Amino acid sequence: MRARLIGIFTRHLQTPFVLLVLAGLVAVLTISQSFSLGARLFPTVVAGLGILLALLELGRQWLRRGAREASDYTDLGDDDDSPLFFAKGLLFFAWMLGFVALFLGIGALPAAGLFVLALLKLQFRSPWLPSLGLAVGIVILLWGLGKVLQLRWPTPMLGF
Amino acid sequence: MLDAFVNAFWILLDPFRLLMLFSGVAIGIAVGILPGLGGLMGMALVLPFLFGMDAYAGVALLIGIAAAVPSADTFPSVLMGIPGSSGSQATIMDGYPMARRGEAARALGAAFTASLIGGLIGALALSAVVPFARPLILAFGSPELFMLTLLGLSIIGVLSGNRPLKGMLAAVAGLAIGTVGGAPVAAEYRFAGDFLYLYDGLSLVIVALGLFALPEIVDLLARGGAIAERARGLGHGWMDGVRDTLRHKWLVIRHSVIGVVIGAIPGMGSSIIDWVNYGIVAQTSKDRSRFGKGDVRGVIAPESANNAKEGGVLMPTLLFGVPGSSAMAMLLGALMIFGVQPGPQMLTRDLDLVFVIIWSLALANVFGTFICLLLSRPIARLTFVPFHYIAPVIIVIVIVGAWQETRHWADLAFLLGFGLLGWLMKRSGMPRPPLLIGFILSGLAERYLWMSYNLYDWEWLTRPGVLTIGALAVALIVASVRLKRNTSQRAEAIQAAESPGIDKESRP
Repeated sequence: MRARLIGIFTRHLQTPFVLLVLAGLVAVLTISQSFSLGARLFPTVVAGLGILLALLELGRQWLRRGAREASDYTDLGDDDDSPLFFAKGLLFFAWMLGFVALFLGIGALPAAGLFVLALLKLQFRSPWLPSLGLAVGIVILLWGLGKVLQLRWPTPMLGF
Repeated sequence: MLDAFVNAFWILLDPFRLLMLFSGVAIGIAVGILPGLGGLMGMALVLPFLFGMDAYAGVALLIGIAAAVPSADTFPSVLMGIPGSSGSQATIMDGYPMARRGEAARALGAAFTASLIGGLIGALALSAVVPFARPLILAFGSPELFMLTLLGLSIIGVLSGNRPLKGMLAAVAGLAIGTVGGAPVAAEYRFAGDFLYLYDGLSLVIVALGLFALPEIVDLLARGGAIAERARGLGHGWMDGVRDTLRHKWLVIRHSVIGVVIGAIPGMGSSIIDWVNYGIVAQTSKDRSRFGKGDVRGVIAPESANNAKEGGVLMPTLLFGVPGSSAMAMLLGALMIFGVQPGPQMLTRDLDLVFVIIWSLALANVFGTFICLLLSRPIARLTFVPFHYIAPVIIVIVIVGAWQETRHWADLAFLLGFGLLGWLMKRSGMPRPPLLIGFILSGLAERYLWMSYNLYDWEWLTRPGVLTIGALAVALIVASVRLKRNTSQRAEAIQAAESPGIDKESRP
């Protein structure tokens, strides 16, 4: 059942993905025709080849519709591909987006401390002591790295 | 040539460069023992911090990471039956049963010694190839170099993942993404619109961190829980393991050589090397009854090959500028950051750097082995730390690293965009390494194509060198696909027959 679910989900995702790549390559081919020869040659060759490959891949998927894709034994990432797993993944991207917003909004060091504390407390329900310890630790680490490597931080939009 | 070889050793002995090499080894060990992470992510993490470093220190750091991962990934394979990276899957077959009967220390001792010898043989093979290959490579013109770049990319595309068409499509998408920004052979900006940020093209750091760091973190967090259940103790018998390896010295040498040869075929290395070697040792041994139940030869063979392959993958990377693996693509990208043109020019203008890379590989193997042996107990404990305590730190470092690129908000936007793209690729079965390699090779390939077209028009396609490389590549692709398919079938058969205690579903 699980394997079937994975198969269905992966198949549903792979066709739109190839279509997306195909659309991108068509755009590259179209736009590049307005360039001079030197700038046009390589994108034209690449996009032409890519469009051919994308059509062949779509044809392969159409011919094999209904069949389960064999998993690749060499890939360590043969994880759970269920919709729930997918939703969880998107949630963590949202956390990262939140961190980026904080990073630009209030500055790197406070954002790092707040992000680590919030992620550990709200998402993983970790105890206060390790959460606070890690949050303070990451701020000290970044401060030290900033001094040693002369890193530059964003100017906070909120003016802190 | 000998002068450059000796000179490179002295260059590497500079305290800061040695510190960087040592730091690389430490990072390589850290990412190697955490299943799901790997050398590629480790290299992506340090890329933003290479700016301002000298090229020797930078490559020492990167090679340190690449060389230490194949040693460190043995910890989870032996202790928990979980591969630390894709190159240590076969080690589980006998390493884990050894750990279950209280011989983890012996298995690790044998594995680290085999890794050390394998790594040194890889470095030796690489340094032996350079003087012989140099005259041949310097005779190549731009059409031949374009063919090599393109066909190296095709081989990687075909051999990455389990669908050749998808791999090649990913590689072509990478080439297309690499065309954004200023054209290398014309005074024109492409696909950048009025967005100044894109005039210099997309940054390797952003693309690499996005494609390889964020998806792994997201997957590990989404899976939840600790990296592994509590492992068994290490037990005793370190020296027994070392003696096992020394007793099987011919086995180590044989599999190291196989590792170098397979590693030299772009795209082949890490994905199948352990299984090929496990299959060979299991089939050619007189007494096969103990394989799968804790035979130390089943640990020694894949581990020596896994480390030796690093010398192999560096051959096409340094000699032709065609990355032997995705980690080597990252190295090529880093060389470009330092202003070094990868490929044949390196053998004339930057020969010192080539030998620094070889020395770094040899020394990193020595450092890595000794650290793994001496600090095995605390290192093994790291594998029990729940990933949600590690992930926030990595996320912060990734985002801070990306910000250092140009300190523009678009760095972070593109980082998240490529992160999402990489994650969707992973979920839809589209291999990511060819895309990164295509992106890195795009500028180089465009220059070679333009020079070939300018000098010979389309007649360059009929040059004997071009036709020969084309024929060789087709033969190589066909042979490699067959080898990979056979290995895949054999690996599944071995796993089904010999691993009653190992649940493949539980692996990350």
